Amino acid sequence: MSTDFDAIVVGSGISGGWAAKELCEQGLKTLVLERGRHLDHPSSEYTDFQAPWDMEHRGMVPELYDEQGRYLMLKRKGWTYRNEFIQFFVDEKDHPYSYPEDRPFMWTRGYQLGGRSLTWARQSYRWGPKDFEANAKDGHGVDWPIRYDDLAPWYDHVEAFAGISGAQDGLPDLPDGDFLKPWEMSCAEDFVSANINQNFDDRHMIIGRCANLSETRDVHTSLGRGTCQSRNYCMRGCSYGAYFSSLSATLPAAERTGNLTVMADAIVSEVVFDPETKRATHVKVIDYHTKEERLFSARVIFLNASAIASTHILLNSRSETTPNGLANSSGQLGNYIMDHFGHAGANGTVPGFDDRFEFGRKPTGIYIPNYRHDRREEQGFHRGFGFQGGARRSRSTHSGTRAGIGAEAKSGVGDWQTWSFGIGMFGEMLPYADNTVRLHPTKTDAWGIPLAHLDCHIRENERKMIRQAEIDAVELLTAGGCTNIASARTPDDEHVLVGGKTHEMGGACMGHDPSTSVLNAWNQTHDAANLFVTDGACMSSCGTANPSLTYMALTARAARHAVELLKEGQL
Amino acid sequence: MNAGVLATAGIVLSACGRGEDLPLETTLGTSFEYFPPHQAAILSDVADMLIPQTETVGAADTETILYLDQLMLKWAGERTKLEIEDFIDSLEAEALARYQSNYLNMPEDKRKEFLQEIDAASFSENLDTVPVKSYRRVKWLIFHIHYTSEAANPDFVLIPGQYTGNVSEADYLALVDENRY
Repeated sequence: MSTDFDAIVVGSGISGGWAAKELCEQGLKTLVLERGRHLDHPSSEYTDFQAPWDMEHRGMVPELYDEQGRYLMLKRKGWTYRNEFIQFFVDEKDHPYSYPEDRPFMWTRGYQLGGRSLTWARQSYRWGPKDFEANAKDGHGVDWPIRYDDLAPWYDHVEAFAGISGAQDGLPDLPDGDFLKPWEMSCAEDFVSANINQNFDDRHMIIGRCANLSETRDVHTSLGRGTCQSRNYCMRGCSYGAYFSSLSATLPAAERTGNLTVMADAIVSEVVFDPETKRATHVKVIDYHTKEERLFSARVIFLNASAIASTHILLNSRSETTPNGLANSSGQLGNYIMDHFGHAGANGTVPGFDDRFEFGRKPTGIYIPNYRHDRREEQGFHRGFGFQGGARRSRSTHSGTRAGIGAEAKSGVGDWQTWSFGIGMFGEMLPYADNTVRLHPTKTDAWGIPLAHLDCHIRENERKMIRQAEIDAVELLTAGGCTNIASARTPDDEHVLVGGKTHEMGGACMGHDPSTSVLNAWNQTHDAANLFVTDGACMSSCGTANPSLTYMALTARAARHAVELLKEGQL
Repeated sequence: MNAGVLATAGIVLSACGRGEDLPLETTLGTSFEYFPPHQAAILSDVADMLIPQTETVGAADTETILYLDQLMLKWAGERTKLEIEDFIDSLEAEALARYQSNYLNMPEDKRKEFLQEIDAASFSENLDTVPVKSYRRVKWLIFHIHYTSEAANPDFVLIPGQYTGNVSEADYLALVDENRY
């Protein structure tokens, strides 16, 4: 196998897949390095054709894992702790990281080809102009060196290929795009949405935009992708390729160019930098199984290992000239770690639809985008939050957790419940320089690499949002026509686990100024022009909308720029 | 051992004459591999008392305890194994204390009454009075296994193929029929 390529992409998840596709389609011989195992698509590890009774242990994770202290953080996550897709998540016992004892951080990872693109929630929203302006307006974090208009054509580009379903909602803070037909709201959601839209000028409830093919176009079918079957089993892997993942879409597109080489079980420990040419020249790879070290070289290198992992690789790329890590001349590498946070919401019942039902399990819910931009004076906090949720109607069941036995206990089981509706907040964490990832000073992993040490917590601005979001959630459900409303929020004195939304961002932020940021407006490191970081690490703020579509757009834009620079002989 | 109880629980002795020395089989002919016959019989009876066959299937129909037996081999940790042991031991001890009888030798109406009392006490506010250990845990397992079985989910559709959010019950049932495998 050659060790010299035009381009190297580190990581094969959402953004790594896009980098591979764009670079290969532009004619670059590209090596994709994945630290996890190889997976085919469809894979024998997919469990999407299993009915509940066919699933091993009926979906319950073996208790032995508990006894061995495995998957403790995934268990804490709750709903993802299921046996049918646990194979797509990392056990921190095998791959540890660290955090202060009183401030745990939830780092959810997927070490397999395709990474977390197999298990993402597929919610796909453009960020709006205000999201890119927020840092400049309120002075928190580093000003984004780009604005919405810079990214808009790239949103078009990635939406067309990925296949995003959504309605043309006409909301200025949540731009529309090139969407497939939207998923239908349920009758209960339609009712709540109409009431909210009637009662508020600034709050809108729309159908969630998601990367599930509600219909197919040639660009999808040419890759063997089929229409979503409304199973909502996406996290088990989709044999139809109906949701966007690296395995179903970008890597097959890259492969058909003949320019792609994929290497799994390849742990990138560092990027090698030549101080004379000021170029990244190689990546050092440790074989997962043999621990053998190899060097691979390329003219351009894309880091797409995820926000924490890409930052971690740069921090670990230490040399005489880069003692604090590569691309860290600003001293800002590893700073401004962010995540969305929840911790407030409400639910209620939706009266009046007891004779109406839904068939199928749509793969998305509803979305209430952030309506609290630019209201610092009035509300007492910067930025804002949105809500995600949905309505459902299910049959009564009995989990054995209440009193009653025999025919009495069975009576009512299987009866239709009334429609319920619930929403949970997605808040924007401010970028704090001292929310950090660092190399652990003493602890290393099984491959001798220092552990990532994460030290992050929310502050009073976020606490104020949580308090306000609970109030707003009740207002929204009340205005929406719900009854029996109950709300909840995390108490002020309880630690909010950063990373809980799996939207970790920052660590190598984009900015204008090399003295205050790590990346420029094209995602090139200020210190090595041929080194790009286009995953969540590059984000200078975290907005309130799910970030993956923005990673895709930034990656495609940066990859095309890299190719142009190569053609011009600048790299 | 009470052969009538075993039959009620969907279990038959695999051979005559040596009852407890031999593995039990279900009506499908599959043997228990983890639970000894006496434990399997008690658990099967309890499951059938908790979830009897009515107009819908019961725990015996869904072979709930046979599935639990497999879970014990491949899924359960030491804690769950001990809890089930505790449950059976304390159920037997309580039956002996109250009725001077082994649980399985009690008449059906008495077993039902006994379990109703245990159930009520186990979900009361005063947990100091809980007479049988780990009852709630065993109940949860039985209900979970039963209600995730195929027979207990007659309108489950694995591949709906479409989503529609506003249909009548008749249309819903027609869609289930069309798309059920």
